[in-house]
Amino acid sequence: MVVYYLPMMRAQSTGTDIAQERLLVSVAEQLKVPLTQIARRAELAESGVLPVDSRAVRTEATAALALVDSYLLGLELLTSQESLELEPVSVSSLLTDVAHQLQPYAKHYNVALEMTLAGKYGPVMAHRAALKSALLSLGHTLIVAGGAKETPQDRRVILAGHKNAQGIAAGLYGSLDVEPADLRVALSLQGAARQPLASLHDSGAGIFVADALAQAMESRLRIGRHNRYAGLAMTLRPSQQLQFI
Amino acid sequence: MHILLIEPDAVAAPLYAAGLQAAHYTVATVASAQSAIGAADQQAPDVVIMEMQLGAHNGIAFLQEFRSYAEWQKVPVIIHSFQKPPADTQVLDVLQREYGMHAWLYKPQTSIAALVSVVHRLGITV
Amino acid sequence: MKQLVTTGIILGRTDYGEADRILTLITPDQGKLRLLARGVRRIKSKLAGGIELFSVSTITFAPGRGELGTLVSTRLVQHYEQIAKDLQRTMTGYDLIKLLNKSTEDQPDPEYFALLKDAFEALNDAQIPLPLIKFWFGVQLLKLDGHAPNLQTDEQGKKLVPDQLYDFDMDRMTFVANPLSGRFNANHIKFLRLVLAGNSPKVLTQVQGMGQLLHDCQPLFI
Repeated sequence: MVVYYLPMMRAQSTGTDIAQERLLVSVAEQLKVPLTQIARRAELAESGVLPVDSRAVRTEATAALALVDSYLLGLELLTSQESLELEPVSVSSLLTDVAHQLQPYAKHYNVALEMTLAGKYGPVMAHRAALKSALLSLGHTLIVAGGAKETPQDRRVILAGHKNAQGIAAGLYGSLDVEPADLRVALSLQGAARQPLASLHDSGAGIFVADALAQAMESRLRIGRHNRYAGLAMTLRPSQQLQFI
Repeated sequence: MHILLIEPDAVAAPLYAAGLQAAHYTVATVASAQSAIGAADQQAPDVVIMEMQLGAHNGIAFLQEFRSYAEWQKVPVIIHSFQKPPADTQVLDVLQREYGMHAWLYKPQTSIAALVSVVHRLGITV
Repeated sequence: MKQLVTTGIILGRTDYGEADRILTLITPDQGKLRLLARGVRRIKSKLAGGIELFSVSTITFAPGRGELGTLVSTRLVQHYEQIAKDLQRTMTGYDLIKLLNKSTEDQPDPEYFALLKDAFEALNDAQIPLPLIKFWFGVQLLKLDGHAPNLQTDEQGKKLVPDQLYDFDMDRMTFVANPLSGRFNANHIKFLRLVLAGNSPKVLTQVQGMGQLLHDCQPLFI
């Protein structure tokens, strides 16, 4: 009976269902990385080749869990029937929080993590948890990509906030070597290609999860530049409320 | 025996290298196709162990380049990748015949002991 | 030293001495070029980025007295990076390069460069099926080599008609009427005409029933 109905169900899949399936595939592919790291680390500890490195295991597992949580949050927000509640969020304090959480992962990958805030600006209207998850997801992806670089100046990720014509952009930059057209193609290929962005050696799930979260806040990830580094940022509306205070 | 390990993941690379070194192989580790050519230039490898998904280039592009050098045409290559081996046997045949692929190992299901065992079975003594 | 500038696509690279390479390129105006690239085995070589496979580059070279010129500099114009992301696309790309390399004499027409460039464009688009690209490429090569199939008249010189069934004679590269059990009908012929007319693989993906038509026609030319 189930086999009879399955083709009908698949024929009714909407574009949204397919996009969500692909995001899940992308996340599943990405999770292979930290889980394999943990398995091999355990194997080497069991055979006495390397000592147990519990901090490394904790860092790898924490990053994997963060990806899962970010993915689930994105799914929940995008499929919710209720409109998203936005609140004024301080970009500088959020970036500081994200930097603090990313620091152990950056150290794990031997990547320098920096933060810059250009100018003074007030809070933005955002869903705090979604914005934080998006930046964390992006951060993990860029740190892994930075880890594959072979010069110290390329092993660098920068958390940055700055004003632009549309509002306040918050994002992460590194040696991504990617153009806007590449991002458009990558977004269309997510989950359907193992390596949607040629400059990343993995599935880039963090980028797609971050984009899903940005979409939930009616924004999108865009390629941006920060000095010599390329990266991804989302632009959010400044909060009007507090300007009257 | 000298192994050239092409592994873009900076955290996993030393784990694989440690496992291979514990089996008394010397290992040069690089993260990219371009660096791999440079490393092979510096010390000719007896075996290449490589991930297929590399940033900027893929493993096939590296193998094309690598095989175009006369002195590296017979170096056995073990693919050790997050990609599953191709289901198409014709593709596998081309990889073996034209690119000298000795084995394709799927990382999530290949322990380091199994990787070392595949290298052992090459039977290369130096 | 006289220098010339052209656009090129790498067909192959081979060793030459300890640090040099010979590059074989196809260009729209200089035909097939063989150029000596000095010192490109070194990591820091500034030429390394400009001689990627699956790329179009601007090439500056000094013509030699014999058939080997010297590469002066390159600049990457376009890199088809989607090809490199997919194992089968990459391998198909190499197969097409090999086929073209074999087909071309030293002074191929500009169309060969354009054909390879178009093939890379198609390979770079994940929506275009590989079998279609291979088939399309094979037919274009036949055409450029002067062996295009006859899609207008049958083996008796009669115009091909819509309500007739045909078989294909590989030796004479022409259709033969077989009203009872011919394997090819008007749709197959229309499809082949679209391919032979040089429509891009992207356009050909819009043909109704393309999958089946391709499946039926593939054995003819591959």
